Amino acid sequence: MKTSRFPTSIFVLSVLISVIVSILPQPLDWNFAQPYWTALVLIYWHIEAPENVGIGSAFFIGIGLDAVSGNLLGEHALGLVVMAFIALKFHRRLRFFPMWQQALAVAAILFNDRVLSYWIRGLSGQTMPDIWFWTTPLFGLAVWPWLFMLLDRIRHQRR
Amino acid sequence: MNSIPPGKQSKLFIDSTTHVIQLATFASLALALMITDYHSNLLQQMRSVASLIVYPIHAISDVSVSSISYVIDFFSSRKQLIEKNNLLQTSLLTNQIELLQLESLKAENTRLLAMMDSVGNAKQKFILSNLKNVSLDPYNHRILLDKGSSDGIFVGQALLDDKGVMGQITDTTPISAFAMLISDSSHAIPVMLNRTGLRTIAFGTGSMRELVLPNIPPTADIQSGDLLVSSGLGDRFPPGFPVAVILRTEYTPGDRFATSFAEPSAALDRGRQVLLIWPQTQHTPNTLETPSEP
Repeated sequence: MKTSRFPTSIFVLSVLISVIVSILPQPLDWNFAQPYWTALVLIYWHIEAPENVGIGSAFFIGIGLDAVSGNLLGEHALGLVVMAFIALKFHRRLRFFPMWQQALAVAAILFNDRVLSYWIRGLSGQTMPDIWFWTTPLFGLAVWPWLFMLLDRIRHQRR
Repeated sequence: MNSIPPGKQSKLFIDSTTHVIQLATFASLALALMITDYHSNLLQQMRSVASLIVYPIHAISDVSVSSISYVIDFFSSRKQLIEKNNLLQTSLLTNQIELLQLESLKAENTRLLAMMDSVGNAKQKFILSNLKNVSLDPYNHRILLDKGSSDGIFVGQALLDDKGVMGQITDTTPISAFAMLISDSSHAIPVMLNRTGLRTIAFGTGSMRELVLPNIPPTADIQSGDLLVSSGLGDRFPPGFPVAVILRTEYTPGDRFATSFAEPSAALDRGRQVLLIWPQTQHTPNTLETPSEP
């Protein structure tokens, strides 16, 4: 009864849209300014519906993202799995945070992901990124409140 | 603020050990995947299957972009004009690619190196392909093309645009192919200084605007503005195509080598169309025969 309330279609659609948005062609020089959409959407669902999404779903979405972007298979998957774990662990606290605090927490999670990604890059011998690499979580911070409200509104309208 | 739906409170204590176990399982699975993918080609097939599955996502992304550009086209001019324009651009691109070799040929003639006349005397076979996507990751210079192994694309094939060499194919599926640009930091291309014939290797730096040539002999005659063309050594890239233009050379006295920096000739971050070139079909080098010219 409870699980039937979980809007699976909205979940799938939001993840799909986030993946499509992140692969839309854009000037490479401005790529760092793009928030990590898929991560933001996943964090939202892990805070709001922790019983229905899990670390497994984050893993498979990450694999999908790696396949779409032609990355090392597992790179995004690992990042999203860790993110999902953190979001699940703190979802009760995150849910009661005021919006600005929540956004800061999300930025911290995204920053943690950057550290992880930096580490993977170093190990796999990819280019070491420049300073802009570390600014991407700030763009995530900026869009989080709007994304949260949008997804919340869609979800509650469905009820 | 968001209100908590009443149903959620009953499950206040989700078993957190399950989460730790899940984390450990999936994280190690991801790590194992990465290591396998990095060290071997075992995942190659799985990768192409995955690429096929996610192809619709690329298609949607492409349709959304092309529909926007179509709307813009529609309002700026009439449809026939657009079609004609596209046709002309295609022919321009194919013509330019043949002209590209002219410069290197000229330089060769002045040096009377008839021995290298394999450049440009055979007609190259190539195919025009559209860019479907650039890499999600700005530090990973890869692009996705809309031609795949069903069009005869193969791994290692060279990629050009109307100004020079862009990169090479690294991955193919039947309907699409990934290519690595020459600016990727894990890419290297054998080049030749067009003016003097100095052979060296140009490495990507991770910046679209710069390649690095780390082993230039300090005594070499190299100036900013010199054109680097592909040397064709290593049988990857066809010889004689512009690769980059020398920007500057740095040499610290006492070092074994000077380091030069060059700007790629191809528009790596612009344009939507690229050319895929086939190596000249078993061009037997008749260079060992003495030229019968006067």
